[in-house]
Amino acid sequence: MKDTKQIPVSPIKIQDNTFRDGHQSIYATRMKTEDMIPIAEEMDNCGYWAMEVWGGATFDTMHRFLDEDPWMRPRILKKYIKKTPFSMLLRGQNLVGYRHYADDVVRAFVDKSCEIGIDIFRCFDALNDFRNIETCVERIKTNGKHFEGTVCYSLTESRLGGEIYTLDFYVAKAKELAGMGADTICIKDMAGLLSPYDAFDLFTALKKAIKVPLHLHTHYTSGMGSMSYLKAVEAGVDIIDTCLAPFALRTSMPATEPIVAALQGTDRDSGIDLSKLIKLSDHLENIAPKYKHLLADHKLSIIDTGVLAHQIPGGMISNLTSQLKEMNALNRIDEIYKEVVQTRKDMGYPPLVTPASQIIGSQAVLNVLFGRYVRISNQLKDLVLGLYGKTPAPIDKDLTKKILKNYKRGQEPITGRPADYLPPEIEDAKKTIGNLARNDEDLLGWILFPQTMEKYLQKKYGVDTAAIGA
Amino acid sequence: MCMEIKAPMPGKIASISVSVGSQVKEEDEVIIMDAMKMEIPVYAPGSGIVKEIKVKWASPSTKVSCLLSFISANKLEGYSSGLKETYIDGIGAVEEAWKK
Repeated sequence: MKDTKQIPVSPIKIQDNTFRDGHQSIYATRMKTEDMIPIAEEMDNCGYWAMEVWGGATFDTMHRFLDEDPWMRPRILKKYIKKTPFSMLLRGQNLVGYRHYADDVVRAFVDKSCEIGIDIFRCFDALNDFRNIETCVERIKTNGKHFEGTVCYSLTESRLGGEIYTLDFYVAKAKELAGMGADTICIKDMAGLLSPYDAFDLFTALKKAIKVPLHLHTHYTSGMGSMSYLKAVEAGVDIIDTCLAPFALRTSMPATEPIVAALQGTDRDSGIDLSKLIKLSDHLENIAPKYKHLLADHKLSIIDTGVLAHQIPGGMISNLTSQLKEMNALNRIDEIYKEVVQTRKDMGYPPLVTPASQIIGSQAVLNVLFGRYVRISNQLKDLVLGLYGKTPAPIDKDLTKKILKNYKRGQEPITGRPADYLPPEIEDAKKTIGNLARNDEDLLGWILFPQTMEKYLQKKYGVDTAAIGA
Repeated sequence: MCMEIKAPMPGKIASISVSVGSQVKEEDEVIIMDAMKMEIPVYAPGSGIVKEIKVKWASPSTKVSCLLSFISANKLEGYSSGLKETYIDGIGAVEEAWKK
């Protein structure tokens, strides 16, 4: 490689996501802490802006499948990684679980996360309703930590524009986050929808409007990820998310190595030593046999061209397919794709990210099989009721009435912040769990995942199952 | 007249809102199913008294076509349980999907 030794004017900063979204995206979040330790110190020496090591699905899989105490991973890694800040993905009021938790739980969870070594909080809400991250932000700031305000990237049409998801939409959302005190602002393209020229326009516009550093997180799913990074880099994005090659591409992030190589000698040279990265990838290749069975290899293609065709995230397509198979209705998949688009429009264009992707996808299935809104899931009713927050566009009044007819949680949509309707949870939980939770970490874990955490705690403390509840 | 309520789709039983002997009105929620990671309520197709509940909470039973039967007070017209071949299958399938 030519050694141009030009001093980079504004080096691109890299957030490594190998230990979080990398294995979450392609190895079902099953990487064990013990496999991270052998390369932890070397990772620390790479010069990453940050390493995302926690949050997302890690908390769930660690206690459910790996028999690890979820709170311990950042603590253990911190012994080896002393220079690089730790980042986590935090789903606002959902924390790392699957429902909205009350404010007392959210406060305690964020405080505890700070205590165990998280420095940067990538905080988002699935509907981009930032009232759902207010409580998190208050605690992040109080603890003196870094608040990365995050906008979920979504589209109305095949490219940026249309009714909702326009350049102006993203600029307005970013400004809202800046107003909340964001230290950095991230565009989170979890479905790999962002196309290269839209990335250029988007970051050009954001750079003009926003003072704090900008961060882009994309997935390789559609095959556009690396191209979008390059165009975003040209437009001035400050930080990008990547993974080491064995944990990259497919539905994960673009790989670190090619981007570092591509920018060498330019004014955006990352300054990261490529040979160090290659050594680290070798370690991951050595542990690969343990994880290889988790890799989806039913297709030769490592990209999902379906995403390009209808903007439905790859994970959602595989869910829909397996659901229809179970119902002996796989022949109706094309109708379902069309219905997903219509249902999403009816529901005010939520980004197709968890939980909206499941809610919209399953409702589309019900609509096709039983008629439109004849059978309705309770989660869709909650969405219409406003319990997840405000949808990007309003939902039609007549449809709202039809969906909420006789609904036991209410027939009139709420307009307030969803968490204002949730009573505190911690004191009640303490009484219910009793002695099984020996500290506040056990208790919080149990509030998030009552069934699986109970089993984990029984194992952790060697408690006789039969004695529980006595 | 005796009437059966069938599972509209494969899934497991999330909760049962009635007991044997319960009086139900048309459109009352009788069972909530857990399917496609969603809670899907199943409603009474008419008024009547619950005669038998054929499933249990979290039923992982396979090929059960019937959730419960009840003695109907009304004539049941125009009610379709949707799919012909319905069964409650696989806590496993739902759990697997959830893990993803």
